[in-house]
Amino acid sequence: MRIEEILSIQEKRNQKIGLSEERVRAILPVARQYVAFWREYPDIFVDWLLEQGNPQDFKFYFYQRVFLRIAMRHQYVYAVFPRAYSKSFLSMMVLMIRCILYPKCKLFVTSGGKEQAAGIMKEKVQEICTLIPAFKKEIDWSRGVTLEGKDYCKYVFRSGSYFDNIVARETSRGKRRHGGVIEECATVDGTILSEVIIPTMNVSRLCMDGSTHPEEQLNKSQLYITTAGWKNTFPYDKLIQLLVWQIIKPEKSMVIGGTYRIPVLVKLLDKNFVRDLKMDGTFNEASFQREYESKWSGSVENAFFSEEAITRNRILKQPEYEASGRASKSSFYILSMDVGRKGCDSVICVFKVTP
Amino acid sequence: MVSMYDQLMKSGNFTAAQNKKEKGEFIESISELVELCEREGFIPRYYTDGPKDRVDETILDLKNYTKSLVVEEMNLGNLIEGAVRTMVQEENKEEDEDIEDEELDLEEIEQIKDEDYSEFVDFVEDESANDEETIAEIIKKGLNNT
Repeated sequence: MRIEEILSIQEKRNQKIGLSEERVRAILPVARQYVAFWREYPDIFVDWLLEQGNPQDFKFYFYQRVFLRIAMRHQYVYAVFPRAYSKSFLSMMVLMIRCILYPKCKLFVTSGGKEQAAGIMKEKVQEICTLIPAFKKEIDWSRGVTLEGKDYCKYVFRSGSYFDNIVARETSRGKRRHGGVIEECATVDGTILSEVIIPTMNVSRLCMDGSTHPEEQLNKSQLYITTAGWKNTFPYDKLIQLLVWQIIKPEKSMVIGGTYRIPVLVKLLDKNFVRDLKMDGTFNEASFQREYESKWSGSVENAFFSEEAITRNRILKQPEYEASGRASKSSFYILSMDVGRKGCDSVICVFKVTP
Repeated sequence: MVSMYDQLMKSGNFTAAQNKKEKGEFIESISELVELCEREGFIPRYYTDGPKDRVDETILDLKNYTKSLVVEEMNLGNLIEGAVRTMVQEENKEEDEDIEDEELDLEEIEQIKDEDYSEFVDFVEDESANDEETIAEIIKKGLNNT
């Protein structure tokens, strides 16, 4: 069935009628085509839902449609976007659409912190349900079914599908899911992700007719969402891996990214705010590149220590702001200075020697 | 009184929710409709023979651009070749493991022991008997010649 035909069918309805079993069963052949179509065109599905009620006059921006379709059509998607790109909003919407269009699927959200994922989920699901009330009707809000706690959230849909947050720790080992979103993946531990989180997707979804189809886009679907981080880290290597897969297996994998210019263009981000950040002398330029230009901060290729490892280990547990009286008599300090020329920074290092 | 009233209403199926369930809607959400659709059989992927609108065109363009960029970059080209090699090696490894598993099938090992062992012993005995006869003949011929 062509898109034009499906859209023309949509125009014919508008009268509320009772849905008896006979009526429903009569439309099943057409409904099956709708479902197949919506799985590929999730934005049109949401447009259709919005026709049932759109209290806040919600409309997709063009780039949001691109994002939704890419996320729904590929098993592996890596998205690097700046703040205010609505990436979390869209990724939660992808999970909700999948829960509606793939019955009995089990999906997850994970991120660096336990509370972080639960917080993101709760906030975004509420926002989506407010903007598009039809989504609210799809969730089973019965007591004890859908859970919204501080550390744990679980949204159960009327077809039995659900998505919840799982912690990126050893305790999540052994859980079973069909796909999920790795939020702020730049902060997720690579070993845990490889050894605990990804193996949760070993089993394919059992369809309602009892068959399994491992090739279905939902199975093992991984949507990595993040702002840029550092090179020579697991998230960056994963990005490169998916980029390579995009070339080898274009139907399965895709890497996308963007800068602050798009949210500024559609007024999700204030232009002056970004300009002020650029002008702010205290705001690190590398941070700006990462957070708003989606550029991964580089370090020397094949360096013995990664920048991340040095940053992690350079924290002083007992910093001394002046000569300490706690040291032994023979202790002494060495000061070294690397003098910067022509506007470069000078660096003074302080070493404490305790023989 | 109030709780008694509630209980009677529920047991008699007089509550609004129960009435609604019985009288009206067979399904109340798209999720349930999709569930019914899939009970009829697996829903195959929606097929399109090419981009259908501007969004599809944009996605295709993004993919093609990235592909041309990456393929023309020598270092990344090597990475891709390496990844393809690794994939092939992994597939071969899996096949080898499957073959090894077949060889180590316990039932087959037992069959070999039971059926072939006695044949093998008979074969060895026959061979040694033949050898003895041949050696005896050679010795006999040698003695006659001398």
